[in-house]
Amino acid sequence: MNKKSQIHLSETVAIIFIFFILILFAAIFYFNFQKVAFKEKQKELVEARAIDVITKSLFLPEFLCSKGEAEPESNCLDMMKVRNSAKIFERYNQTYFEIFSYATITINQTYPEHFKMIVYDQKPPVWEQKKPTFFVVSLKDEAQGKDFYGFGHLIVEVYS
Amino acid sequence: MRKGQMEIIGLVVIVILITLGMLFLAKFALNTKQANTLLLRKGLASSSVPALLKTTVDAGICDGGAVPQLQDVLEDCARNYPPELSRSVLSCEGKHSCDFFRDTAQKLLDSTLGSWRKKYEFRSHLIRTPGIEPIALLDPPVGSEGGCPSTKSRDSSGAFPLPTPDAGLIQSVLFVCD
Repeated sequence: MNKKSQIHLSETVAIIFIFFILILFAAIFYFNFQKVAFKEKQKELVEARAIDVITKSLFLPEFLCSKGEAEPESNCLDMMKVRNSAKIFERYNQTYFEIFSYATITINQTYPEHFKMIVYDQKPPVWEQKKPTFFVVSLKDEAQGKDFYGFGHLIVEVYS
Repeated sequence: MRKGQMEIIGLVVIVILITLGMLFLAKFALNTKQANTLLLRKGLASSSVPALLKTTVDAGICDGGAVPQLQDVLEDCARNYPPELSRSVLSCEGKHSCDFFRDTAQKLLDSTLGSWRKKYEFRSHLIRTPGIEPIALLDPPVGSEGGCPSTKSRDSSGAFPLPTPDAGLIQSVLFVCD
């Protein structure tokens, strides 16, 4: 083999080597990207579930502010109903588990009085993290007077 | 084809590949805001205004044993605007209804949106007659530091109308941003 051919061969080997290095970098980048994308997707699913639980809570007849056959008030929870819901949730545990799955629902009033009430609490046996999601609501409480509305929020924690 | 021309073609191919890679990366990097987060922010904005206006003022705060809702306080503010020139019918914590509404709205929104590190801006306008420039009942608007200027990505509650029998139409809007 002459010298020119040897140089040409080593040039080809170097180019192939660089090519494989580039492929390796691309593969590392792709796998890292996939890892991040998977985590993002997981986060997105947890958020979607939290929104789902919030929506179900806001429209749950056991919480909703209703008056006879009139249109129910939106974004409003009736505290008279909420106070009694714990007993119902306990009694029909399986039914509500099918609706909310593993989640914790807390009602937090910030005005006029501060108070916190956990209305549903089902934690999975093993969980890594929980994602709290908030929603502002009116808290109607006729025990405090006719047309009395407190200001508060609903906290829904879902587990992953 | 000469060797030099071949090399140039190879270089062009590499440049095209790198550009495509960059575009692919930019597409994912710029599209980070999730639809769920935006949906929640919009929901927060639209649920906060009716909840705020429906809130009943704590007993013993307003004179004469009155327990108005915040929408009654805002209506009273509209009827007796501006606060420097007239006294309001409702007197809560010894303040004019406009000032009391501003302080209470700020407190309530700070305890919710503010504590979740959301920025907000709440505006209320009085439209006395259609076609005439609306009067800003809350000037400057109630809001967190910096507020939510239109230059930022923000969500709006939409105009929340509150008709009054004698003062005109009150229109409130809440902007929420990150």
